[in-house]
Amino acid sequence: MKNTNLSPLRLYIVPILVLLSIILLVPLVLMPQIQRIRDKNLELKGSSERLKMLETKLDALEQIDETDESQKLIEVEEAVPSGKDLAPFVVGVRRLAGQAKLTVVEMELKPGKVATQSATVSATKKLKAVAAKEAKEEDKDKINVSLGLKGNLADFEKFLKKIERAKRLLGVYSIEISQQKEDKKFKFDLGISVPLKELSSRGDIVAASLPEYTPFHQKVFDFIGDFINYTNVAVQKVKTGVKDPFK
Amino acid sequence: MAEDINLLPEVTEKEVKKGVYQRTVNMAAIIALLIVAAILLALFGYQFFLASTAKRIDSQTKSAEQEISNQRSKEITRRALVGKLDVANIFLASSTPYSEAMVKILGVFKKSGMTLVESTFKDAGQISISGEAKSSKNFGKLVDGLTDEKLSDTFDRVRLVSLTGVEKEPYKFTIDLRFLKKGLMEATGSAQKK
Repeated sequence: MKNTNLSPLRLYIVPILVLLSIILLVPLVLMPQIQRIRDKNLELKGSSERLKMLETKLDALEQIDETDESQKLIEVEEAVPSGKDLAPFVVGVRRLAGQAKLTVVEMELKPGKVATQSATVSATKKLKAVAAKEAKEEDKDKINVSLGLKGNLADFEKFLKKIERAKRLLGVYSIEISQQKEDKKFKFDLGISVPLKELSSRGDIVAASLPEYTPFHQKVFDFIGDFINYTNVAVQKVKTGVKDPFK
Repeated sequence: MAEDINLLPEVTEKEVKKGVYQRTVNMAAIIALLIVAAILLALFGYQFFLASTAKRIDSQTKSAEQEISNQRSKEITRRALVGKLDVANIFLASSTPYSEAMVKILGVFKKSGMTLVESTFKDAGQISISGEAKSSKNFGKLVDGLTDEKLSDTFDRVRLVSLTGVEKEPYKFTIDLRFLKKGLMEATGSAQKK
């Protein structure tokens, strides 16, 4: 039988135990702990950044004069409305044309995705409005209008000047002018685009940074502030889905 | 006397060295263990510090969120206002000030004694004008007017598309040109400067 000499092991029992402890402690305690600290640090960094952002936002919010901005919003709403309320728009365009001594002979509205049957407006025999059904061509943030006018060139020039400085904003993107043979008057076919901006509430916006109201925004606000509102008319609404809505 | 004499000095020296070596190794092992323990302790301490910091940040965040929620109406107003002004700005910048083009074209027509019969204004300021001229002199005036140096910042690419003349009838022509102005704010700004 072989006699094993355990004396060196007994002599170095302390370092051996220490070594074993270290070997066990490093992967089982030390490394996971370092990983946890690393994760926590990252989490903390994110939280700190968010807190900093919230504090910045809070400072910015406290500097806002709510009354002033609400007043501005009411004015801007006249230029860029939230909804596709067509009746005041139709009345406004007719007012504009009337002031420039032009006659509205045709109007076709393409009110976009929220258009319904009731959005089709027919004001007079000369005014024809048809809501377009082709959703593919429609844009959510604007209404496209085809407008037919009749009159002379000088009056049309006045009309163009007025439309470029009108509230709500009306953008002419195409014009076709042709002289009528019978009465030598001119027919004007215009493509008009009307911008919209719906109020959207997108989930939790607490963490989202507050948009800045820059001097440039003020410049735009001042610029459109001088525009004339032709669409500020209250149009009485009638019942829908009934045989005679005027009763 | 003989008892005090070390008869095996080399063996004793070896034993002594062994003892010193063993003590050194033990001491080193204990120091290493202590270092590891200290590192672990420091790590636990740091983790505790991180946890308490996270707790503090969390409570500050909740309080800030609450304050922001209390001022929600301000935020909604600001977002709506800036959003609408951005839309207005894009609209104003992308719109073509056709009234200015119309004024200039009609001015040239008036000066040259011409009659406008047809015209189209399309996107990117592409304009086509058709009209009638009583004489070639009138037509010459029109071309001179449209290509005048003063209008070089307003129109370019003036191109005669067609010109027909039949005896005892006015000349009929079509001219294409490009209107250079873009943006309603810019147009109004330059108009105000003038």
